[in-house]
Amino acid sequence: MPASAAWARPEDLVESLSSLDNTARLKALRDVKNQIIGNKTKKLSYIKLGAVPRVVEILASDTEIPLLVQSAAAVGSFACGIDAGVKAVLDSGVLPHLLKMLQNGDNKVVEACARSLKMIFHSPLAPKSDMFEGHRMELILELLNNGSENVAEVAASVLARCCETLEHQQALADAGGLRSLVSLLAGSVKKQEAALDALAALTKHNQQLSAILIMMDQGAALSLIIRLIRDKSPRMRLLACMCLAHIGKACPAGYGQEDEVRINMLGILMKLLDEPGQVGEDAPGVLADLVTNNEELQKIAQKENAVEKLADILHRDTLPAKQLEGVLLALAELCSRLEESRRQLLDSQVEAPIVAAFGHPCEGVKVAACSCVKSLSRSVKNLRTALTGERLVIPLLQLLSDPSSAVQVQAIAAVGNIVLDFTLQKTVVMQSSGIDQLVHFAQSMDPILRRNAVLALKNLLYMADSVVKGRVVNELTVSTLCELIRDSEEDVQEQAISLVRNLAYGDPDCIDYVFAHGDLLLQAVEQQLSVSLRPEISMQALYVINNVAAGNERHKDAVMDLVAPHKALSNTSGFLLNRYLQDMINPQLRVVAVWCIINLTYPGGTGTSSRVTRLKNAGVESLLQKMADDPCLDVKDRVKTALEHFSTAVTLVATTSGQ
Amino acid sequence: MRVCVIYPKSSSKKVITKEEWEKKLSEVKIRKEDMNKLVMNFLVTEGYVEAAEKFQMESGTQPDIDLGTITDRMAVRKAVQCGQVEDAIEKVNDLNPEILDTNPQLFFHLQQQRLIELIRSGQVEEALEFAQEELAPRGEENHAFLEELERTVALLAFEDTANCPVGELLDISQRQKTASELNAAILTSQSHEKDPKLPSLLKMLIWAQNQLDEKASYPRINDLVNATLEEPVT
Amino acid sequence: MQRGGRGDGDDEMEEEEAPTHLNTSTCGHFLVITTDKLCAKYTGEGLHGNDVGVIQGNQAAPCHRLLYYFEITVKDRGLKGYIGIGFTDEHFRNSRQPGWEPNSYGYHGDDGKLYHGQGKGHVFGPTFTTGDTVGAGINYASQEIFFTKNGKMVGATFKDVKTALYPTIGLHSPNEKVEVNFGQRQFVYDVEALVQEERERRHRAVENVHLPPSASHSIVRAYLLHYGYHDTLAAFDAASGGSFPPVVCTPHEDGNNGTLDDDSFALDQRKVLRRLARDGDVDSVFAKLREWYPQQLQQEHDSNIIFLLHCQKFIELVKSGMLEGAVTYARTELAHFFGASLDQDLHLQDCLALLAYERPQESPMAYLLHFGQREVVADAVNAFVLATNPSLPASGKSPQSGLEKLLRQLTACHVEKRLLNGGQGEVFSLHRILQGGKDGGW
Repeated sequence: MPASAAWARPEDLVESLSSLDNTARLKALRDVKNQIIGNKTKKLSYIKLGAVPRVVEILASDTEIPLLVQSAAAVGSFACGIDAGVKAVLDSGVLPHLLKMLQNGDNKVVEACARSLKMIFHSPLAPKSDMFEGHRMELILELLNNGSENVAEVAASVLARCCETLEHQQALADAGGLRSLVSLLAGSVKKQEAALDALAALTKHNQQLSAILIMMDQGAALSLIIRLIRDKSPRMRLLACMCLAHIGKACPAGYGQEDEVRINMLGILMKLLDEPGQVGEDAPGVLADLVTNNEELQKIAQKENAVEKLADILHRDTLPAKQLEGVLLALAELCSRLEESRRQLLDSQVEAPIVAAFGHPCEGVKVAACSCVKSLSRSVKNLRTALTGERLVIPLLQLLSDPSSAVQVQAIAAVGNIVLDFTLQKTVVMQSSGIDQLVHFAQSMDPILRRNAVLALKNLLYMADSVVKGRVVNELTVSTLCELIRDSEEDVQEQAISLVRNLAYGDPDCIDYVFAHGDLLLQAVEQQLSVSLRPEISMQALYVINNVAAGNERHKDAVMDLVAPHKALSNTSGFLLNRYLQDMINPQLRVVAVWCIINLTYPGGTGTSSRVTRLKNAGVESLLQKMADDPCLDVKDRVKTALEHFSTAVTLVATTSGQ
Repeated sequence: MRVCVIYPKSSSKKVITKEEWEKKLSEVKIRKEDMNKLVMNFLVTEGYVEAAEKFQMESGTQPDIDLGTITDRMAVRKAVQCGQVEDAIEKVNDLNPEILDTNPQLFFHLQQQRLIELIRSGQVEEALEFAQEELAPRGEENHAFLEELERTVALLAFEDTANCPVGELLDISQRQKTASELNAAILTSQSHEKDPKLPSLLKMLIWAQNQLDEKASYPRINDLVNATLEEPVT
Repeated sequence: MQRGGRGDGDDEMEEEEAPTHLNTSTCGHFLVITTDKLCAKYTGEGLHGNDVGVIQGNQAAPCHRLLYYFEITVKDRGLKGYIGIGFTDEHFRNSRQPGWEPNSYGYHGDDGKLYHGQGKGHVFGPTFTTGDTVGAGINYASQEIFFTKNGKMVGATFKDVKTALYPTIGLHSPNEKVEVNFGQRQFVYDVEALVQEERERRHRAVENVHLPPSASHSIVRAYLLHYGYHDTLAAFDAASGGSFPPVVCTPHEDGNNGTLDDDSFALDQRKVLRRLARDGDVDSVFAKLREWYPQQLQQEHDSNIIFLLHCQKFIELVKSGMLEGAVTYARTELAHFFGASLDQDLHLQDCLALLAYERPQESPMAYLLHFGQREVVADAVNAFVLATNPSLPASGKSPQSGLEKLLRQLTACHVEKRLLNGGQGEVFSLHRILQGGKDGGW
């Protein structure tokens, strides 16, 4: 066997990397490089043998061109395709050396180093921000004008991979990157592709740069990109679509003809889904970006059978993480609003692949799978019929304890929808450690986690039986709940109060949970009702009051004490509900406030007459009489009922006193 | 989606005699420089670098790619054609290390070709070792690779490899196939079309003749190499 | 005779005029048209079958392309929504709906039916009304008329009318109003995607054709032989060395020699002559020809080859700045060619015009000074030698390379097919395909 017989043992080769003899060193370097390119197993074994620091050392201290080229190439290959390799080269401190060599007089060295950077920065492990320190970015930008085809192309790819945050984008734009990249669009296929890739990175979520690109050269740059969505090369088509999807998403004002172009892109991306390799892997993610928040486009996609097509991909044997994530995200977007799409997706038997995605090692995939379930579970019908059983719910609940908070946030959001309506799911959550975890997250420092957890608990309590309610109150505790009601975040307050609303809905047993700790909870709610300026919060608080007022005599009296305390009787403005009865901006608030009165004055109770008297004294009746012609029909009807309650009570009082 | 409403039957075929057709042929304007370009494109894409250089001198035709890049590409191709796959791998890695690092299928085919060459030269033990160490891990990464690997290893089971069911792997055409795949990958990495235009035009000729057959009877060219005009079928 | 450079532009490639607005001069009586000529409103009463408001585009649909397409948007369906869109011929009666009369096609909004040449429609697609955008197109490749509604293909019908067709709209109830888009704005229907689909379909069909192995290789080799590109041939053969099968040459059954032998005829002589011509050494070319082909040269005394060589000699003199010598040469050797043929006269005029410019290399005749002109002469010499091959049938034609024959056949097939389609559809241009670069052109 010519080659491997000639090759020394790996250990010896690694040793030779540090040989003092230049020729031996070069030979060892080439051998290692040629063994690892394309071969993950070899990469790992050489990393274990400690080859990486030795290779980097050559780059750092040698001056001979072939040695520099070969070591840069080897570094690039170690970093290509495996995280362990990226970590190893970064740990060896290779970045400054590679960057320094970009100024080398030999273009081969420059190309090899730039390529190496491209490989390294392809990985999420790479420290992107490091590239924006000092004058590093200028160095790369200069390479865009390099006479060599390859160098310019590779430099643009490096930019595409480095540019992640708003600051990065701005720094690049300030250094003139946008213009240089646009001029690359006139070059060879590879240059064009790399430039589109970088432009897509620059415009992602960046309204300002998107707008500049739209206007550049009287729209000539944009027109060129639009033309490229029909290029012969599928990768070009994909990258042009990606670029336009980013621009369209970031720039709400958009550009002329945008709707037509988007529809065209939809068709093009749908076809790209079938492309082999990288293009097919990246296409679903771009599709997801394209249809985000665009219901019209989602409808068109649905009619073009996008859901079925994506679901088919989901059923394939092994999908690369990127593709799986993209497909799930695209499905999540497509099903976020359209019931028909949800139905189609469920008809495609995707539960198993989605559940499998819950256990995927990659964070993005798990997040996407949760988003998908979240979208599907927005349909109550689906909750009842399709998203059943422990197979889905238990693994989803397990994600609540995922180390990644991004996963947790989406998982809780999905759990929140899942537990909404279906008793079986509720039971499953109960039986697993679901409640513990939700309670745990409800006390998280992360406001989004906290909100989603409270929301999930709220949904869990929706129409739940007394056992579920009891457990949640026990585990969460009244004092924590009170804290959540007074949370610093209004979103959390709203969810917490509406949790109490669900808790207080139902028979008196349920309402009793509200009084598990005296009237502490009710007081907390009342407090928010008095201070909050957000109608959403007031609304939820009024619902709590109303639900409690619908309970037994004791509950009603507790509400009376809260809303119309004896001591404040002299002052009508002191009556809490009056404010909402008179809220002319939000008829919904008036409706609920009147409902509260109706429940408090409901005929037949032992304390009814006394409550009616107290309310009368608080000026409620006269206020209601003024509302007899309320512009809101709903309010008007309820006021009528309430006034009837008042007169019935008077009659009853009259009858009793007459005896 | 498409609704087609009215479709009448096509009318009878037009007959064009050889004389009429030859007159039409003589009216066609073909530029010498276009033919030269076509030939140059063939030479360049297929990697005949010296011929391309000579042709540039002899005909004044400019190549559409830097001739310097062909030499390296051809050295790679030639190495595969001669069965020196490791040599080809080293060369392509020098040209652009990304090609094999980001193209697992091509990389696998090269490794497979190496295995084939080992088997061809009767190095059974080395072949087995190579298959286990180098190819098996690739098979684990991709199911399609595994099947190809199994097919290749099956060669070892036959004493008379030339007549075994998987014997075609040992054929020269297998080397050509691998060499072409590698050549195309290098061309693509250089932003160049991976196929020459001439074969496409030849295919287009056959296709266009078939299309015209439906509507007319005329002298076809069936023998592309000698370009002989047949008598029209009537 | 082959001429390079001037006047050899791609004549058939001229951009055709396409409709840009409505033709108000032939418009019917029952319409008002906005000043931009892109909006039409019905003003008649729609009482009978002959008060339709019909208007055509200002040009016929261009036909030297794969497809033509236009759209209307219904601004107001009017009383009854009797709106028709389609194509009509030049002589269409401007008071009838498109589709009702012969040589016309129409898709009608009120019933969604397709009309073609008669008052009775075929069930076709959905109806259309206010707010809808409806399109009509001609697919020359498939010879179909197609219609779209709101960006979706509705359907197609066979196009049996071979004469020029005009984009047409017809309105026929009070207050109907439509706006037409001749491509000044992006279309709602993705017509580009249809073009691409059509091309891809053809591309796939072409790629599926099976070729005999190494056909290209043999054709290239024969080409190099034919033109006597000797060094290229040698390098080509050396590089192919064994890894390709040798050129396939099937001897003809009647005993004639194959093309290969024709192509290799007098290769050694042709190689020398080509090199001399390439170097601009016209004198040596003459000398060698006299030495090797005295008889044939005598017969050809006033012929094209001699003419071209003399012209080239003159050009070489101009090139080297020997203007006086050039003038003398022209008087002695060129003058008597005048009046022999139109082609020769034109070429001669171009050559002599070089004298009129202080900087001939910047003049319109500069092409004569390029290497390409030497190549023209070298090819003529080569053809001359090949024609001396005694085994060649005495047809009087200059022999062609196999490649040239194939390309002629290819072009002729396309031309003929277009002809059979009434001269409609994309014009095939080999030149454009070769220029097309990465887009692949046609």
